[in-house]
Amino acid sequence: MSPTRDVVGTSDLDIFADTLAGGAGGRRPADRPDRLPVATSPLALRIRRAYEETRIAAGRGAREPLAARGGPLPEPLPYQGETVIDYLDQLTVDWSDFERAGEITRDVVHRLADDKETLRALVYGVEDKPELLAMCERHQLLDYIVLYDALDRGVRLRLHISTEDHFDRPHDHRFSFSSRIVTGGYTHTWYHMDGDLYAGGPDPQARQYLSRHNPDPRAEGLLDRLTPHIVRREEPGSCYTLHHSAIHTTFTTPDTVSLFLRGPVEKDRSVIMDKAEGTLWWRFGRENEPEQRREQKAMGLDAYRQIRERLEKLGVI
Amino acid sequence: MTIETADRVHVNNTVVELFESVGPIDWDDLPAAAELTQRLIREFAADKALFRRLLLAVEHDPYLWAKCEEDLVEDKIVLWDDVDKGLRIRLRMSTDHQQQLAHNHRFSFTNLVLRGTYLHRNYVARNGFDENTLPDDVQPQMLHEDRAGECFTIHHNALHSTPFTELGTISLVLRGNPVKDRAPVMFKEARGRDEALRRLQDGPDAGRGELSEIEPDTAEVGTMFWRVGEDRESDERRAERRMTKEKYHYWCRRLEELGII
Repeated sequence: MSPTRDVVGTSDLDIFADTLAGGAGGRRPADRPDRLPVATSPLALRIRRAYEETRIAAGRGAREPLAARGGPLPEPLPYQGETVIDYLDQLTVDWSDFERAGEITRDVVHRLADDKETLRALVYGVEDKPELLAMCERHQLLDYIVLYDALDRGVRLRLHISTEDHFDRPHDHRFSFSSRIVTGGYTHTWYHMDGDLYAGGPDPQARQYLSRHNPDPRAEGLLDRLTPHIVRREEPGSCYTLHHSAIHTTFTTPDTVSLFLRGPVEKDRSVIMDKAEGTLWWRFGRENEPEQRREQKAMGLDAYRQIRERLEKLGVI
Repeated sequence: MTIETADRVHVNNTVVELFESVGPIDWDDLPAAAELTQRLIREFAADKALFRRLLLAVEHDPYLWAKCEEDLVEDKIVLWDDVDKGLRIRLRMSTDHQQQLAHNHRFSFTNLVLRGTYLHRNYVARNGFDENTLPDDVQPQMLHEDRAGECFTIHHNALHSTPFTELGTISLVLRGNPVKDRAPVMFKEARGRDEALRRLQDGPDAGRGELSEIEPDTAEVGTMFWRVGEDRESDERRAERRMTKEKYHYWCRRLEELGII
């Protein structure tokens, strides 16, 4: 459809030209009211009254925000002067309440990203914690170090470091998470998928298609059902929470580092796609992967130390 | 006799070098549109002399002035509108508390936050978004903290909410042409709950039936209505929403105080 366009005659043109000539000179308007004038239409007044009734009925004080969950970002959550680690040690996140889990975990990754000393201690601590080191992985697009693990309480904290390879690979996750960019950045695209990839339930056949070299042949045409719905640039300080069902891409620039706090596994597999090739394959948790694949992606102590050194050079820790 | 549309008069009388080199924007290619329009909107916001020139000219341009609105919870000032290129720039300023309203749009657009911060929710409605959609069918998939300086480009079919409940939150919007007549909106939070309940009890209606094309002043969770373009609004409704000169002058001054222009 085309937008509405009003047809004007020649005489209108002259008036337009005159008024524009008078106004385009950058003159400042004369009157300057001091305070924010709110809408005063009968409708706006009725709404304002209705708000007040709602607040009184809910027994809320006049100073309390009206719609806390829809409103501005909350004040930092209350801490009793303890460190982020102390806080993490007693934290349980219920990811079935996605909004609340997001609020809590974004706060944690913000605090940690701003606390270089604690972040450094966590990164160095991995060297002495074989259980964490064993979970660190190297992938084509990113390496990650597991800094803290209490998945029984809904918390696993990772530090993501981009590799030299940068591709636009739409994917989802087996878990929901919050992420905060520490340095670098990426183009972040959130996709709409027409239909549900997981509608058929468990799919044992998917286990055969675990790499871009061996994509799932049943996925023919599926990528055409993907439409980019949001495109944005994530910069240092950017922070968001993503549900496990969301399909997105993070097209990184070199030396991008982010803090990533994930929740428990909510499905057995996740999907990853190559848009250029029109192909799709699956990712499973470590426990469900063949030994060869596990060995392939294990980071190991030497690589961990190299990456740690790189983090120091980047000024992240 | 020359026949010219009002938007061409507006564009031809207001030369903006930044937009001269830009061709029609292909909003169907969202990644490409994002790259182009995010650059344009950032350059526009950074060029305070240009920003100021266009803002102060609005009240003298009947075409733009007619599009400026005082809405229920926010004000809009349209700064530029080139229909041929699919490039309209407007300011969006929060004036009152806002509920979480899940909605999509009649057009795709790019948004730059100039001031304030808010939680941007992106939703999925698994079985589509229409008058039969229930509140629980609409679930958030991404919760993004949008801060001053951040920019996003959104497809007209994307479901989201950007409740500016922090008064004084200001965004700059660069939008394309409309591709549909109206777009649905759903209340994810109640507005004036008691009044809405009373109204339901007074006249209970079975199901939603035909949705209103006017934003309701009270609403339960799940209430839906259509957001429409100005051409579908009655004269009375347009008059109710028209921006006053006093309000516009207030914003000119405020934007200057804030260092935005």
